[in-house]
Amino acid sequence: MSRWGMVIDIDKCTACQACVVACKVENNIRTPSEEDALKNRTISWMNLISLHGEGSEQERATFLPRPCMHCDNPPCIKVCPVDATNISAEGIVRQVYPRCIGCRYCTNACPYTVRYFNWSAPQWPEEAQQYLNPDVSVRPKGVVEKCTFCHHRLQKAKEKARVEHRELRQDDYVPACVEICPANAMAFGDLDDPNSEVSQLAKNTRAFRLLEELGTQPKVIYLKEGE
Amino acid sequence: MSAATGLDRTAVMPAPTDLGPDEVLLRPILKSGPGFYWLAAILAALGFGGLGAWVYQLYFGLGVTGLNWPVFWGVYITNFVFFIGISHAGTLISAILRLCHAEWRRPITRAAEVITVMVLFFGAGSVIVDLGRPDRALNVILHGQIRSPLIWDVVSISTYLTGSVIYLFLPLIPDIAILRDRLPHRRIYRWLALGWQGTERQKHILEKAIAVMAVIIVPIAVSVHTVVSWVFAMTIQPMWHSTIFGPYFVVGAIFSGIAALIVAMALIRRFYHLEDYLKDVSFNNLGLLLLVMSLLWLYFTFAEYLTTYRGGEPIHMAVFYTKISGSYAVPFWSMVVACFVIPVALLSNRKTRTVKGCVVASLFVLVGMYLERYTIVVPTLSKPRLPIEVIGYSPTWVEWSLTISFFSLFILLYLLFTKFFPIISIWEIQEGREKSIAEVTERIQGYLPANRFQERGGEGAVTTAR
Amino acid sequence: MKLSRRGFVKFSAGSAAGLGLAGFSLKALSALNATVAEEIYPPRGPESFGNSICQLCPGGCGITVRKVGARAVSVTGNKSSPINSGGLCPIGVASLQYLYHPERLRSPLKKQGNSWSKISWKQAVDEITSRLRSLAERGESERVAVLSHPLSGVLKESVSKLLRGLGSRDLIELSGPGDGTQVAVRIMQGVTEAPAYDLASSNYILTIGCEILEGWTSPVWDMKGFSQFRGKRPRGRLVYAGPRQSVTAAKADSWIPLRPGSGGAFALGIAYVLISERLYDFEFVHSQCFGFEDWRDSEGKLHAGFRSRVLDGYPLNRVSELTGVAPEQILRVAREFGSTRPALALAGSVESVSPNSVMTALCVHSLNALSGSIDRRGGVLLQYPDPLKTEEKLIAEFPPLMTDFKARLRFGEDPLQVLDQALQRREPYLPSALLLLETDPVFDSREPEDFGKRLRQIPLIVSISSLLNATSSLADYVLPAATFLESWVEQPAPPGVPFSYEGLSAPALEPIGESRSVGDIVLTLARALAVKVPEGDYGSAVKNRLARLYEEKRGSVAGTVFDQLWQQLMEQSGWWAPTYETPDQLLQQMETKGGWWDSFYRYEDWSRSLRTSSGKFQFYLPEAEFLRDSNSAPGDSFYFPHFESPPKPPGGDAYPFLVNFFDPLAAKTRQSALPLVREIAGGQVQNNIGVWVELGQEDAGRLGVRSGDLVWVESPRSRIQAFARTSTSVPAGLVNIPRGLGGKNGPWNVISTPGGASLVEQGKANEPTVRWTETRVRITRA
Repeated sequence: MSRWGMVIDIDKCTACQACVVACKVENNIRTPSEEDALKNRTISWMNLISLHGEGSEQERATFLPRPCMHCDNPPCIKVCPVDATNISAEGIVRQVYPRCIGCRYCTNACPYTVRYFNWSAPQWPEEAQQYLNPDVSVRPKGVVEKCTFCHHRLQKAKEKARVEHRELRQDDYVPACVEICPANAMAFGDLDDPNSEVSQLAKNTRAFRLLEELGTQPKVIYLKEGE
Repeated sequence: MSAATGLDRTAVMPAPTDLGPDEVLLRPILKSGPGFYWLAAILAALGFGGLGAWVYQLYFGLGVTGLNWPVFWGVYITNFVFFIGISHAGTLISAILRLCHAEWRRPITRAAEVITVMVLFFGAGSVIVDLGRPDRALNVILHGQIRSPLIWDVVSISTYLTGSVIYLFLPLIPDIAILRDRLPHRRIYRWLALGWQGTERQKHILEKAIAVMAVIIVPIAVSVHTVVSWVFAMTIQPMWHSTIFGPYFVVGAIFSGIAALIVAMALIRRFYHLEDYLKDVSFNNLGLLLLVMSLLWLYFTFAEYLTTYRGGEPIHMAVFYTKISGSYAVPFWSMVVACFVIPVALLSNRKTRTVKGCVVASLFVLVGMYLERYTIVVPTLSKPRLPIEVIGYSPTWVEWSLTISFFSLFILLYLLFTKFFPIISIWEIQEGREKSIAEVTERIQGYLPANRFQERGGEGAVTTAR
Repeated sequence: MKLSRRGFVKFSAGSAAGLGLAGFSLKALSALNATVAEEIYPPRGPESFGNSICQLCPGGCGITVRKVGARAVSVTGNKSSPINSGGLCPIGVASLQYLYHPERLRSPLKKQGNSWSKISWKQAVDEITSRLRSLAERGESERVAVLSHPLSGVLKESVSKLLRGLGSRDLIELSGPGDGTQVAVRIMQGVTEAPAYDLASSNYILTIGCEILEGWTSPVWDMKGFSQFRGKRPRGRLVYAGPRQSVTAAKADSWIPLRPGSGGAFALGIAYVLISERLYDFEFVHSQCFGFEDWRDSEGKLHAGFRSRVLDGYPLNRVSELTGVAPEQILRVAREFGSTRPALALAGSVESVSPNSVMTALCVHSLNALSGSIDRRGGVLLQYPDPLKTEEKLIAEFPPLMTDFKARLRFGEDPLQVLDQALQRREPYLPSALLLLETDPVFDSREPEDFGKRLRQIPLIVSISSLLNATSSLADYVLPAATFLESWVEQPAPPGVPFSYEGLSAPALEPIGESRSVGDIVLTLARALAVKVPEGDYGSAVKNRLARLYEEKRGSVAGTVFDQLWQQLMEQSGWWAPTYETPDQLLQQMETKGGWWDSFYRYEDWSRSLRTSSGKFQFYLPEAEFLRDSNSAPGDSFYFPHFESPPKPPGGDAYPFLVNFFDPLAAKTRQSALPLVREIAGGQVQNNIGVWVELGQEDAGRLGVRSGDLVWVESPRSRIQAFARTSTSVPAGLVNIPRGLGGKNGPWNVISTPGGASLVEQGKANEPTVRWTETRVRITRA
C-alpha cells in the first residue's frame, strides 16, 4: 500500500503562488465576494504563509506553501462526530461533504488551520461556471472543506492503470499544485517506496516538518533554505 | 379501564383539600394578572422574533455571523457552554441538598430543577443553530463516532436531560395530584398525576425513587460539564488542552448555576409574594455557597493561568497575553471583577449578604461566567499556531438576536411552568412541617454526645437546625 | 393593547407550534436549505487536451488546456515548451477566468449617446472603414494611431501595412517600465537586442532592486533559472539590496536594506572594493572596455577614467553615508561578488527617466563588466533577433507621435507616459483616430479618469477587446476579440530568453459568441481598406510565415526536458538531425508540440554584443548629456556612471512618509480583472482586494494604526484609501505601496478605483517623467 506524501523545497520555491491558484482551479474553489475576502473567509486549500525569523535585525520572512499536512495522526479526524473526515488506507485525510454537519470542530482541532468552512452558498457568475471541473464536487454552503491531495486524480489514475492492465506508476498521480510548480520545488509520491523521489528527498538534512513536536506526523515535508 | 377509574375517582373524591396557609402557592396557577400577560407577550415577541434571525441565518448561511477563518466558534458555542453550566443550578444542587438532608432546600428544589430542564433545551439548541447543516443533525446518530468528544456530549446531555426530567417530575407528582383535585376540568393534571392518592405505599415508593434519582443524577451532572470541557480539552490547542478543564468547568457550572437560582428565586419571591417561603435564610445560605464557589473558581482560574504562564511556551503565551493584555483584556478583566471581586466583596460581609446583595452578586456572576465562557472559546482560536493574518471576531446582530431569543424563551418557558405547576413544592413543605422537625431533632441528637443533650433537652437544638 | 386569556392561549399555542416547526421539523429545514443552496453540478463529457501560448504577459509560456466536452476546465504548462517546461505562473493558471469572464464581449458594439447597441460585423467594419476613408479624404489619415502591446510576426506586419495604407506610422507599443539592465545594455553595449540573463549558470547574483521573482523578464523562465541556480552544487548565492523586503529579498540569502534611490551609490561602493582590491576581470576590462583607464582624446585632452573616478569619489565611508549600509557589509558583499565567477549584477526597473534612475542602472551594469560577465556563461547574454526577418523594413521607423522623446524612450521611458504627454500637449499632433489592440491603457495609467478624458479628445476610437474594460468603455466601436485560447498564436522568443524560438499554437477552443481573433480582425479591416496583406485567414498567414523556418536548417521542434537536453548536446557536438522532412511536417509538429527552438548560443561574440562607436563596452557615455539638469554633476563626470541623489521631494513636514512604489507579480498581467490573480496579489495576506500600504511598526504605533486597519494615504496631489500592514522590516519614515491594484467593486470588476500611482506628481512641464521616487504622503486612520 502506498503512503502518499509531498516534499516542498523552500530553497527553490519562489513564493509565486501558482500552486495556490492551480489548486483553486482544479478543485472548484469559490471566488470570494469582496465582503467575504475582507472578513477572512477566502478559501485556499493551498495557502502561502510567511514565518518570521526572530532575533535578526530585520524581520525576515520565509514563505511556505501550506497544503493540508495529511498527518498520519490527524487531530481533526479524532474529533469529527459523524465520520465526515477520515484517513484512507493510503494516508490521505479525506472530507465527506454530504455527511458533514458543519460543526467546525475539526477546523478548530487542526493545529495547521488548513480547514475551511463554506460560510455561504457558492456564487459563480454563470459564465465562470463553465470552467468548473466535473471531477470535483462543488461544496454546498455549511460544510467544511480542505485539501485532498487531489484525491480524484488518484482514483482516475488507478482506473486508468486498471484499464491498461498495469501497476500504478510514480508519475501517474500528482496533485495540481505539484504539477504546476514553475520552480520544480515540489515533489509528490509514495513515502513508503524507498526509491521514490519523495522518500529520497525526505532523507535530506534540510528536511523538517511543520509543528513536528505535536506528534501529528505530517506527510508534507519541507526542505529548508540553505546548502 | 383507566378512564373508568378516572371517572370513578372524580365521583368518589372528596372536595379539594384545604391547603391552609400554603394556598398561596397555588395562586399563580389559579389566577394571572395583566402583568403576567404583558411579560409573557414581551418574552414571546423577543423569543420568536429572535428566531427569525435563525431563519435568516439558515437562508444565507453562517456567513451572517461574525465568524471567520480561523475563529470558527463564537457566541453560539459560548451560549452552549453557558446554558449547560446554568443547568447545574438545579438538578445537581437540589440532589446534593437532598442527599445531605439540608432542610432549607424544601422551598427551593423545584425552582432549581426547572431551571435545569428548561435551560438544557437551549444548551442543545445553541449547538443546533451553530451547525452549518442543521438538516443533517441526525447524522450524529446515524454516523455517530464514539471517538469524538461531541458524541460524548450528545450522550451525556441527553442522559442528563432524561434524568433531570424524571427528577423534576417525581417530586412533582403529589403536587399535580393536588392540582388535579382542584382543577378537575384540566385533563393534563389527571393524566400526569399517574393516579397519585397519597397512600403510604405510594409515598414510600416516591421517596425511594427520588432518593435513587438523586444519587444517579449527581455523577451524570458532573459528567455533563466535564464532557463539555473535554470538547475543548481533548484538542491540542493552546489553553484548551488542559487537564483541569473538567473540574474547572464543573466548578464554574455550579457557580453560575447557583447565581441563576438566586436570581430566579428572588424574582419568584417578588412577583408571587412568597416571602414567607423563600426566606432570607435561604438566600443567606445560597449566598454563602456562592461565596465558596467564587473562591473555588478563583483558585482554578489562578492555577490554570499560572501553569500556562510558568510553562512559558510561546504559542500558549500568545493566547495568554491576548487575554491578559491584548484584544480580549476587557472581557477577561471584567470577568475577574464580576466573578470574584464583586461577589466576594458583597457576600463575605454579613451586612451586604442580604437578598438584594445576593441578587446583585449573582447578576455579576452570571455576566462574569458568560464572559469566562467567551474568553475560553474565542481567544484560543484567534491565535493560531501558524502565522496567518487574523482579523478577529465581533458578533453580528444575528448572533445577538438569537442569544436574546434563547434567553427570552428560557424565561418564558420558566414563567409558563410557574403558571401550570407550583414552583414551590407544596407537599415537601407540608412534609417538612409535619415530619421534619421531629426528624431533625432526632438527627441532631444523633450528632451530639448522648448524655449532655439529654441534660439540656431537645427544644433549643430544634430552633437552630436547618 | 389588551390581551384576553383566550387570545393569549391561542398566541402561545401558535408560538409553540412555530418553535416546534423550527426546532424539530428537519425536513422543513432541509427543504429550506435546498432552495437556498442551489447545488452546482459541472457537466461531464469526453476529456481532451489542446495547446496554446499564454498571452497574459510577454512571457510566452506554452500551456496545455484540459477540456471536458467543449469547456476548458484547467490550464497547465506545456511540458514541451523550452520556455516553461511544464511549469506555469499563477497568472497563466488564472487565464480561464479571462476566457469565461462575465464581461466577455460577444458581438460588435457601437456607442450611441451613452449606451451601446449591438451591431453586425459587416456594419461595424463598413462604418469603421468609411470613417477612416473620410479621414483620408480630409488628409488626416496619417494621424491614425494604433496602440498595442509589443507585436511581432504576421500581426506586426499586418498592422504596419494597415497603418501605412492610411499613410500613418504611429504604431505605439506599450512595453511598461524598462528593465534597468536592458536600458544599460542598450547604452553601454550599443546594441538594440534585449539582454538575456543566464541565472541558472551563475554562481552569485547581486540584485540591486531587481525583482527577479516577481515578473521580471519571462516569469516562469526566471523562476526556472532561479530554481536551477539554487538547486545546483555548489549552490548559487543571491543577495538583494533595496529598500523593501520584496519576495526576491525574502528569498535571497541576504537582504541589504538600502535608502530609497541609493542603489547607484551602493553599486559604486562595490566597484570601489573590486577596483581597489583588484578583484575585477583584468582580461575583459582591459581588452573589451573603453573609459576604464584615464585616456587622452584626439585633441590631447586628458580624461579621467572610471577607475580613478570611483577610487576618488566613492570610498566606503561615503557610500555608507549615502546608502545607510555599514561599510563592512559593503566590503563583504563586494569581496563575495569579486571572488565568485560567474557573478551577475542586476538593476531594478527604470520606471521613469531621471538622472538618478538611469544612472543607477548604468552603475549596476558596470559591475557586470568588472566581473567580466558580459556575453559569457552565467552572465548577461543577448537575445538573437527573430530568425524570420520580415520582408520589408516595416518596423524600423519610429512613431512620429513620440519623436519628441526618442532619446528618453531609449533610456527606458514608459511609452504610455510619452503618449499621455502627447495627448496633453496636443503636440506634435492629436491623433485623428485610435485603434486599440487588446490594451487597457486607461486601467494601466496613473490617473485613469484624467487619462480617459484626454483620450476622449480623439474623434474616433476603435477598441479591439475581449472585455468591456476601462478603455473600451470609452470607445466609439468595440470589436469583440477572441482570447489567445480561441485564436492562432505566434510567439517570438520572450524577454530574457537567450535562444531563438518561434511558438505556434492552434485555437484550443471555439471562439465565444461572435468574437474573432485580433489577427483576423486586423486583416479584415486592412482588406476593407484595400490594403494588401497576407492572403487567407490569420492562421494560414502565420503558418505560411513559420514554414520558412524549414529553410533555416537548424534547431528543432520543441520537446520535453529530456528532448531539450538531447538537442543541446547534439548541437554542441555539431549535429543536426531534424524530425521533419517537409515544411508541412515541421508546421504540424510545431502545432502539436507548441513551437520550434534553437538552443545554440555563441558566447563572447564581441562583434555582436559590443556595438558601441568604440566597439567596446563603454564606461564613458556622452549620450547621457540630455539628462543633465542644473543639479547634475559638472563636466565629464556626468558621462560616467555616477551617483546623483534624487531631488528632495516636495511636501516637507506635513507629509512625513516617503513612498517606495513596487509591483507585485500579480500586477504584471495584461488583464487586470481576474479574481484569482487579485486574491494572491498581497502574498500571504487574505483580505487584499484593494490597495495596501506597508508601514514600519514604530510609525504605525505612533499613528495608532494596526495591521488590517483602513487608512487614508494622502499626497499633495491626491488621496487613496488603503489597508495598513505593519512590519518591522519597513524603516521609519518610509512606506511601501503597490503602484497599481486599485479597485474595490467586487472580484470581477474591470474598472478600478485609483491605486497607489495616483498619488504621484507629474514631473517637470513638457516632460513625461513621473516622480516615482519623490512622493511624500501622510497617513491618517479612515
